[in-house]
Amino acid sequence: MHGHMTDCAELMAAYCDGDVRAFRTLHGVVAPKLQGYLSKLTRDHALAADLVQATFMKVHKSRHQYIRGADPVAWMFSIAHHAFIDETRKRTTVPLDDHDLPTPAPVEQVDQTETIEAALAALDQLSATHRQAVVLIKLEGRSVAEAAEIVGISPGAMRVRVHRGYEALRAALRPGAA
Amino acid sequence: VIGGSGNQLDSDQVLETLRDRAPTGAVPISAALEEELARLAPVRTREPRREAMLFVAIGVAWIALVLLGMRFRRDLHELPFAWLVGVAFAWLAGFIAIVWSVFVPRRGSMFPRWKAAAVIAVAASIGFVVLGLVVHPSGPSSKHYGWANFAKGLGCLAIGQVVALLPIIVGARRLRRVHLANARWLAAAVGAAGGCLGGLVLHLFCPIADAQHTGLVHGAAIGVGMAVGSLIALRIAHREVRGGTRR
Repeated sequence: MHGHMTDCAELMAAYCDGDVRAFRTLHGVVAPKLQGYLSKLTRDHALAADLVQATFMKVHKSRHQYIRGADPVAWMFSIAHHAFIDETRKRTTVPLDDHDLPTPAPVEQVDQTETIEAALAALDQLSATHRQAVVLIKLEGRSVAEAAEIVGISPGAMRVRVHRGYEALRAALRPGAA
Repeated sequence: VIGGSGNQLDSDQVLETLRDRAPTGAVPISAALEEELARLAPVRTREPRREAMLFVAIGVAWIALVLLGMRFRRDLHELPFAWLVGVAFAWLAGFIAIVWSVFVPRRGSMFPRWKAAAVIAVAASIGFVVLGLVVHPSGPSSKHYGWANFAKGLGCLAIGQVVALLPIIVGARRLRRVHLANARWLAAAVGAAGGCLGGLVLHLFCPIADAQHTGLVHGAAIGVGMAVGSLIALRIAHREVRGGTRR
């Protein structure tokens, strides 16, 4: 994780120095992560893709804010997170379609798709703030401190959110709850 | 919730299932961004320590200029030296601590320490009120308004905020280069930093030495500065960066 951060920091620094190839490499590393994160939040692949594009445009325009040696990935997640919040403010509800479903091996397709649908449905029962916390920490592997910075709350508040989100997920999965 | 195998899923299985999903493939770069990349130029990145030190230097220079232009309090030589210097240092230390928290993130992070800035600002705004109410030495030349003439001393609040205005504007302009998560708190903290300088000027300028005035008027410079900062600093910071990640 630390080595990865250093690589991204070096790529970001080179990009700020005007190296387009460094940007393309950085984009190749970070964009799929952002796409995955936003897809889990929006449940809409096309919307998530739009938000990723908007995020990178904001990153590009704000690259002068970069501090050499700092982790650019958490910063990009934060920009993506706020792009998502802006979008949800524009819309009353985020559409729930499953364009983001993966394409597993044909033999297991039915079973796995159903399981993922069930998993997504369970995640979808969480409140937006709990879902963000669970997705960032439990699915995207960000630390509590990083997730707190991305969302813009204190680590303590993030710890409470992820705990409550996990509890809500368990409650949603109890027999008769779904 | 029943999974594909017909079994009940538990929360760990749900998380595992989602974590193991096929990773998203390559994400294309938008045409608009490709256009921007075609004319990519080097940019000067942030140097937070340098920015903070420059801001502190501007603040100190501003205070020196203000104090040169106005008379020191007439009871200055009658007051305990340790209190005079100690409280002046405390105002200045509050300014520096808040500026540092707002503009210098933790090593390896891009995020401003908004919580530290907010805690210091709130603690200072309460602390200076309490300090003024409790410790307010005076001399034969000092003035005493008390509750009876409390309102007569409110002009000091305005003087403090006029002094605070320049640091607030400078700080708000510098916020344009900061990644603004919890921008409202950061703006309030910038206001508090300006308020610290306003309070410092009042401490050295105003001869009204009763507890109410020292605590509730001089001490309130930070609290009022926070309010002013949260009202105007964000507007100034937002003017340049439209459609950014502002909160």
